[in-house]
Amino acid sequence: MASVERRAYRKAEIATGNLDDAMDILQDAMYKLAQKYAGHPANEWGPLFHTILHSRIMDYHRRKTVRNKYFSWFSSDDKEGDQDPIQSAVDLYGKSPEEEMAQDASMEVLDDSIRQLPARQQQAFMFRAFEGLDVAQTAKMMKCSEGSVKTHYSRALAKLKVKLSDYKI
Amino acid sequence: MSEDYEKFVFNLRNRFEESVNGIDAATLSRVRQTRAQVLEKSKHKGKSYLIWFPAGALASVCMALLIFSIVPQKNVEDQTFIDEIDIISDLDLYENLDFYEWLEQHELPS
Repeated sequence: MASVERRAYRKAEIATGNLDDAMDILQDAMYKLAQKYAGHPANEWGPLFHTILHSRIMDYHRRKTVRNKYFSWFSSDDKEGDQDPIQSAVDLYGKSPEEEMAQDASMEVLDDSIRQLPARQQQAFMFRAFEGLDVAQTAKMMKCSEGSVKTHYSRALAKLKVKLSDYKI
Repeated sequence: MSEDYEKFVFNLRNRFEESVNGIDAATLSRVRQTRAQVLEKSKHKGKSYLIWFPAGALASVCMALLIFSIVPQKNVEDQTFIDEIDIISDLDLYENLDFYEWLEQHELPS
């Protein structure tokens, strides 16, 4: 676990955008690995851990979708009335969009771009790009066909390329 | 995949690796703490069945003590009951007490 925990944490953080949520996901994944798969050979722990981690991340996305759905349903009436005019005012003295775009791509920008991807595209991207898995391995991890992996991955890359086109990546 | 995309992915992976290596000490400490807690918790959970052996043995001993403490008590009660019957049956002795006193005074041969 120690060898993969940093990468696992970063992936959870990218997916959630929140340190505490990332920690919760990491803890759940670690606990499940220790509970269910401690008897497996040590060389299987890494892939198993990443599979569990991504499963937890998918659960997080599902919960978030449901929560947002209900939250938006309950708060749909007061959207206009509760808008803070100060918060929504244009910042005349801050950085312009041009200036912001001109900045070097920070990891935050990359994190945000990945986070905005649909869950399956995000998953395919992380397995293929960050973990360096091939299509067959990714398909096994994601429990889908190789064709689906190719589709998710290529769409994810296309979106990221467009979003990060103004940054030095 | 085109060369352009390969380079793009290569750069993204490098960025990711940099961010992994650049995790701040406080967060890294939390991650390690989380791992330690999970391992400790799962270790205890894995051996939790072991606490049932002494618990079972203790329960058996308590049950045995309870049974043995009840059973002799019943015998004692029975014995007391028998003694009481004996006393009642010896009421004849008290009824003829005068006779026995007289017998003792005159020391007649039995």
